[in-house]
Formats: sequence, C-alpha cells, structure tokens
Amino acid sequence: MSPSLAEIFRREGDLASYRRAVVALGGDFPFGSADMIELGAVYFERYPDRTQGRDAAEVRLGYALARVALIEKTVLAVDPARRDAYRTVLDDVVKVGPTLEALLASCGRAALQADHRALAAALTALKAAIDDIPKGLIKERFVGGISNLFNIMYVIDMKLRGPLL
Amino acid sequence: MSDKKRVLIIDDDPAICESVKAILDASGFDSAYALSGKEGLEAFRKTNPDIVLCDMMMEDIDAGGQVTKIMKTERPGTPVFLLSTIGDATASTVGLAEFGFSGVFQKPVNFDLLLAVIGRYAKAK
Repeated sequence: MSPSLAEIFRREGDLASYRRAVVALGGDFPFGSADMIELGAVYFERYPDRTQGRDAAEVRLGYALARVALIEKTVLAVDPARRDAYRTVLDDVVKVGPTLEALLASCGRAALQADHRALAAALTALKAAIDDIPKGLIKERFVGGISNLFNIMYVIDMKLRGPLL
Repeated sequence: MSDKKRVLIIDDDPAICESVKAILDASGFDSAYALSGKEGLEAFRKTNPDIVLCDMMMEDIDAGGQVTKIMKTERPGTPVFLLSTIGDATASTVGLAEFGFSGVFQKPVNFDLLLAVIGRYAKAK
C-alpha cells in the first residue's frame, strides 16, 4: 500500500524531495478529503500559521504541497505519453505556450481539446473533495493550490480556441 | 502610450499572480503584480492602475482589507476587487463594504465573469 502524503511530507525534508517521492507514486496514493486534512495537519504542525507577520515562504510551501498532489492526480486523466508535458504546464503557466505547440505538432488539436476536457473534469472532481474540507486554513491552502491549476486550464483553453496556436 | 487599461494584481502566491497576469494580458489588459499588501500599496501609488485585484490573507490575515482601505481613501474612484479563498458565507461577514471592495471573486476564479465585470469598469473609466 502506498504511503500517505502526510507520511511522505513527515519523512521528506523539503519540497523537492516531497515532489520526487509523490511523482514516483504515479498517482497511486489516497487523496480524499481526509487525506488532504491529514497532510495539512502535518504541514501546520511544522509551520504553525499566524494572523500577523505570516512567513510568505511557508505559506507558499503550503500551496506547493497541495499542487504537487493535485497535479499528479489530474494528469492521470490523459494518455501516459503526455503526462509529463501536462505536469510541466500545470506547474508553470509560462510553459503553456511552448509545451502546447510541441503537443499540437505531435498529436493534433482534437487530442489536445479532449485532453483539456479530461483534465478539467479531473480537477472538478478534486475540487469537490476540497469543498468537503471544513472551513479553515487547511482548506485555504488547498483552494489556493487548485485555483492556480484552474487558471492555467483557462490559459490552455484560450490558446486552444485562439490564434495563438 | 498604450491605451490598454492597467490592472494591478496583489497576491502573495507568485504562481497565482503569473497565471492571472497571463489571462489578463491575453485579454487586452496591461497587468502587473505585487506579492504582499505592502508591495501592492507601493505599486498602487507608483503606477496608478485603473483596476486592482487583491487577495485578503497575505502578510497579515486581513492585509488585503487594510491595504484596500488605504487605496480607497487615496483614490476612491479606482475599483478594487477581492480575490478570495474564503467562502461566500464568510465573505458576507468580513465587512467587504467596510474595507471598500467593489466586489468579490471566489477562487477558483470564474474568469469569464471576472473579465466581463472588469471590462465594464474599464469601459466606464
């Protein structure tokens, strides 16, 4: 059985190690609302939040931890041959243009449009799990985490619909 | 000089700032961002944006609200919208009117709606 994300984060010292360990699971890890809450609890154990003078780097780490897991679950919706490309795109909006151009050349617009629909559906399902987290700071990190992925999906859609590709 | 309307994004998450900027710039706006309430206020004073999109929880839990109060005092005609991770129910209790926000967009943001709303404000300016 795969270790939980909370166990991985407890074991790994930094974001890069956590990301490597999570990516190595190929999306095979439990990730319901309870698992998100458990990961959030371990994160806040290590980095307690404050109402004033919050540490920006610690807050951003919270969003990043959520995003790594959300991306791994989301890319399961597309052909394994294209998962790395979508990992790259969902991790950095600047990579959307060049990565989509390369994908377009290799598999065509219709496949990319189908990918977009599949990725959007996967993200919507993950958002439903986040909606089940009780109101509070753990939920805030996950909402912040997934929001950027929806933003990037909007950029992808603009590019697929527009003359940019 | 460009006649594009200038939008200032204030959010402590650089990834969110970059993706919102990508969407706004591709939609005909000229956007810039700041990564804290303090930086945002400096950018607001320096660049005099037409529209501001501002997060709430940054260096302080209500940094967005405090900065918005100041911006609305200095330039009451500039619309400031809250980009919020708090739910609708909470949003209605945090004193949006007291801080002076022109409106609130919940994250994940519905960009069709946001672009339509700020487009109307941009035309009116």
